[in-house]
Amino acid sequence: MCATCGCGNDSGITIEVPGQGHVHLHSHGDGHWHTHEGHTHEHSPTLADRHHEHDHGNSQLLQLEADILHGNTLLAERNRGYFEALSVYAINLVSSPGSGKTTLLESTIRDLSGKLDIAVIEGDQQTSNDAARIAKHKVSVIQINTGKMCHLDAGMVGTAAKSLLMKPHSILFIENVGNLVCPAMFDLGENSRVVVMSVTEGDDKAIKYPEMFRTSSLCLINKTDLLPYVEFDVTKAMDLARRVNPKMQFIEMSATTGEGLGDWYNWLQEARIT
Amino acid sequence: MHEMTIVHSIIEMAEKVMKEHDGRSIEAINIDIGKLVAVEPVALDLAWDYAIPNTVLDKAERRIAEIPGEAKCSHCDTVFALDTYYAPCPACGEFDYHIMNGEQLLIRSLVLH
Repeated sequence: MCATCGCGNDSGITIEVPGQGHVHLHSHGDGHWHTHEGHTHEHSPTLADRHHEHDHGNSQLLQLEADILHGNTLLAERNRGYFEALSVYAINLVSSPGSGKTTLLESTIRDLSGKLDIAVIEGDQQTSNDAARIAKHKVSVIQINTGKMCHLDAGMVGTAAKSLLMKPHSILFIENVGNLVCPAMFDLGENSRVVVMSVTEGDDKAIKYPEMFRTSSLCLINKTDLLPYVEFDVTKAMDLARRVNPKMQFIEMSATTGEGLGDWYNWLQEARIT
Repeated sequence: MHEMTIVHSIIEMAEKVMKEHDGRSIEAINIDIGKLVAVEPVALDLAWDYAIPNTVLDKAERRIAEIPGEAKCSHCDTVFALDTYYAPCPACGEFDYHIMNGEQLLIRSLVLH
């Protein structure tokens, strides 16, 4: 039970700034995650305002046509508004675990230091290992631990973003939980969704996890330095990805050797300006 | 898994609606799940059985309609049935199409007693 508000809704989800304490997120059933550091709620029109009713004796049919993920969609749009007000460009970085997302962020932060302001939200089930790695590079970073949950949602990201110091015109990287399935369904309010696929994972990822590739606009093919040692057909991987998403763009890279990172940095600079 | 998140959302939405209908109970809930949506029926059943007891949906009959996928080709305008996101247009073989049906995840209606 939460000692502050008495609710039994301790979700197991926490947000933490490295070096400071962590706070637990609660939901009181309204779709918002909040802490006890002070929050305001504005309630959008209820579902009940929008339905219409038919009466048939004792049974009454209530037409709702209500999108089940509507709560998350609303919060995602709210995040969009917040990012827009700060002129922040938000990127939702998705992939399976171990594709090299955090290493890529470290290289990006190091190479663009002084040229681009960067803030990071890290998402993992447990530990703040990734946030600690990022914190070494002296950028604003916050860690969300989702506990038993398998994806970040817009509510968690909104709460975390407001605890993060972000300069106007910076890029916010949201490193999602390593998972190619569930995060696909949850809009975080990002400007772009970027999927990382490493050459050690097999070249048919896109058709195995079509929803994630369909909803991403850029695919980073990472760990190209390992191509001599694995059976990964880059052309085939791109062709399959283009089946589920004809508009997909690609950058081949190695976050450790630096190959291809120049193209990634150009993409970031252009994305931030347009 | 996210099926639990989905079930929790369904419960929250049903509870919100029921606040306007004090004293009534939910006899049945009609849910549309598009065939292209990444929701696993077995996982949904498990999540439902776990989360539903002692909520407004406790005694409600759950009726799930699976909505088939349908797309319109951007190249030749053919409308066709779609099972997966990586199937080509059967008429011209292209992969650029607009999804018209099969992505729904919604509560269509509640039957109140």
